[in-house]
Amino acid sequence: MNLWKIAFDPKASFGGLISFGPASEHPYKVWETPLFLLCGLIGGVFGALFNELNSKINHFRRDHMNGKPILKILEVLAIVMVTTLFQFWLPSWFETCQHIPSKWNTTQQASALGENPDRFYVSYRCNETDYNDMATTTFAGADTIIRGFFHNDGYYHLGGLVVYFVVTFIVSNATYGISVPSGLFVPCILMGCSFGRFYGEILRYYVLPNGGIVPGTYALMGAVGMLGGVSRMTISLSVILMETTQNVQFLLPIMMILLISKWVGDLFNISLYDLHVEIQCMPFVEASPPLGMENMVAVQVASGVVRGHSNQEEGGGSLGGISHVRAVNRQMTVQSLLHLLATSVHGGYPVVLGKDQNYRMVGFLLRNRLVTILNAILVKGTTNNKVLFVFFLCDEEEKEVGELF
Amino acid sequence: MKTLVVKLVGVIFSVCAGLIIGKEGPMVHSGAVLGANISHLPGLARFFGRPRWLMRFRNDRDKRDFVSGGTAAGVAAAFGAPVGGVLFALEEAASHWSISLTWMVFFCSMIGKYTCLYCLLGHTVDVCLCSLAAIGVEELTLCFVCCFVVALHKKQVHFH
Repeated sequence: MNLWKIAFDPKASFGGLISFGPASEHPYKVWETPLFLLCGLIGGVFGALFNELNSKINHFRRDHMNGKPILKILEVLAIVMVTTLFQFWLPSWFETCQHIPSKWNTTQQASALGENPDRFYVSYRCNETDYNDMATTTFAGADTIIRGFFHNDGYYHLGGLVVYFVVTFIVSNATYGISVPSGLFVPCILMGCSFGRFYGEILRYYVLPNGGIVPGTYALMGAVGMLGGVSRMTISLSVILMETTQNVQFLLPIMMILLISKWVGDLFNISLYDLHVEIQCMPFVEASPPLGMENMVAVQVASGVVRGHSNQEEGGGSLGGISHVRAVNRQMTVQSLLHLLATSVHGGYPVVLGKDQNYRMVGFLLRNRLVTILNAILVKGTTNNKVLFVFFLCDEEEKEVGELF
Repeated sequence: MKTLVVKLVGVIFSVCAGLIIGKEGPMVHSGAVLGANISHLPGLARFFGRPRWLMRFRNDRDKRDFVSGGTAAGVAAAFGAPVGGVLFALEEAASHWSISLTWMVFFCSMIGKYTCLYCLLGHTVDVCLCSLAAIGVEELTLCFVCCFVVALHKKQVHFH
């Protein structure tokens, strides 16, 4: 059934939620490659800027808006309102009418785009044969806008593109991280498209008027640069983009741009995904340690220099030389454990033997685990504070608690 | 599973509202959620109990592998890029990678893309639901494939 459909349906090559339309008929020329690389450079810089601002905004959100649902809903409403206002008013503020290229109504390329060939041209208040370039970039779904950037042979007004880029940059920066599920690809592609298209239009009309420049290609390259600058992916992004554009010709420049934008972006900060992992305080081990940690020794890490905590008090069975680490013995009273928990903030405590055995470490007790066990015991209420509490290693520990009940 | 439902409903509304956001990220996430859940089936287990053949996936390693597969299928369904999905899982999602995982994940993305294509050709169902169905079908397939592989492996061990 499906095979039959694919065999007879001309649109069968369409797949996925996002599609950039049919492959461009104008592959780039080899001498354009260095020009593409500039897209990677710009994309890397803007991507790093985006990451920086977004992580600032989300740090603020985490610190001040966590656990306040009403505030979150208000925030979403405010952002929706701002987005809608911009999308509604921008076309009339920056109104320039451009001619719709006539070949779109006749040639085969038009039919390749679907039943309605000029559907990404929005006339707005212009004549029917014209289109408003700003309305074309705001009055449509994201897919259509992107396809317009890539395949529209007409002219986008330069000032309009700059305004569109700035607005999209600010709004999407504020949007990524609000309490709705949101992805990163489309905003990045929109931003990248607008500056890539800007660059392409300048090249086409002012720098190399006879060079046969296709600004749509530059829009694609700008999108690649922006994606690379924000997400810092290399292999997977190049393959995804190649499969989405359905054009193998672009693979080489895409790879080069991704590398350039990754290098440029890495000069400033890490990728947005890693930044968000950091913001959410998730335990995540990087492939390489953060800057400055390579020269640390275990004492510094364990004593809380990293997390900015220092705890001088001597508790249960603390080690002699290193007063910052709080250790527990194999036998402790519930009271001293409670005291230990109350006076320290460590995530875990090493279990050590006595002094005669040179404080040999025999295990590690996580704070979480300790709290759970103590809760279970105290809720039962069967113990007074003098009961001995014996720790064994890992699996036996659970057995022991079971026996206490 | 709750995350999944909220995510899907949320993304449909927020994309319709015209916010400048992508619908691909949530798709990838849904894939990962499905992957993490399908090896445990917490919802179904309440009613039907846990079948024995599912029990052997209840460990961290298999859970990680399922999440990788789900992520790859999510990318494959969202962008129509099966190979890109595999590489995405390799580059961003998975922290451990093995040779056998490569083809399993590749199989996932293939099925994901195929199901997505099949749904989209009809143009009758919502696009988001399509991708979800794609990911779901792919996960189930992955499950069976893994079963098959594990069974084969055990047989070999038995022979030895």
